[in-house]
Amino acid sequence: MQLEKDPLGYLLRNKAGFAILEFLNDGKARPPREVRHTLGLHPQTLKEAVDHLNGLGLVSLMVPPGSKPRRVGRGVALPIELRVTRSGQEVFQLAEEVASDIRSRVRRHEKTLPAATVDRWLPA
Amino acid sequence: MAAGVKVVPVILVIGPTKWRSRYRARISPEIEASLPKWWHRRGDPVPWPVDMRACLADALRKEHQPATIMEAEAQRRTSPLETGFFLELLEKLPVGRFFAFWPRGANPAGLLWEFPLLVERAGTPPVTPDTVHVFPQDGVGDWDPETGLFEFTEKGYRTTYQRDISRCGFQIWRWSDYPTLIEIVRRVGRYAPPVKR
Repeated sequence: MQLEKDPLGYLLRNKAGFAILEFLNDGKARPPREVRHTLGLHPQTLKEAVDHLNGLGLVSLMVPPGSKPRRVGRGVALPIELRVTRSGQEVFQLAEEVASDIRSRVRRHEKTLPAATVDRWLPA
Repeated sequence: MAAGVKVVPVILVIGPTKWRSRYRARISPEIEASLPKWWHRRGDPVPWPVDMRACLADALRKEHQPATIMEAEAQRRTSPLETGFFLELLEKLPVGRFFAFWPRGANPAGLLWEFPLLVERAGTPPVTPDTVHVFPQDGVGDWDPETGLFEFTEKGYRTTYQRDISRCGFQIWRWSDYPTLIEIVRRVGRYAPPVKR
């Protein structure tokens, strides 16, 4: 996996990453299934985005203390939860401010901008 | 210790010391440049996991995060036992966070000895879910977005110990190659400061 250098740039380009961070922004640890169902994400989309956010230090995969391991095949699997880090909260806040600014500018120039840009920033 | 001197908790980089027999990791040239001097003297063309741990501690220190590995603290040893030495370090340094380096193809004996020592102290600072960070390489383990389970996939690890470490609670940071690992370790070191003791 090739990591982006700039977490802010990644968040502004990646809708799923932005949505996941927005959902986790209250600081609660949540199971991947809950995140996926609430945001309506495909499992692979969730995995790719979370792996990237994990690599950027914005979301941790957390094994909650006292969690019950399960036997799978010849090994063991541990239940995990997703949790935003302090840095994740800071970067998200910044991304949200930038996104809000972009939205207001796109709205102002809606008629002259390419349709794809308008669709990206001003979803119906 | 002088009164008024602020003691900064240290990050202890734990993990394996050697590779499994016949396994050789691929370490990129830019990482070799930041490896400790002693690995050249060993005469092995490939650095060992202990060298990589020293390299990670060095990367953290460059981020102004005090970090060390057990092997570099030999001058503090008073206990003749390894376990005693490990426990001494927790108090003497003092340790604020644990970064567990878990590469593919390593002999996990050291790590599987250190984890139960942490599990014994689970829930008591400095061993809390916020302070124990595990860095498994792709191939050691992966998570499934459908089931929400993290599975250890590398063969030969002791499942009994893996069950034990879940009692502790910890955070997982996955990585694929060594430059990525160093970048992740820097980020986690910088952004997740230790919980006050």
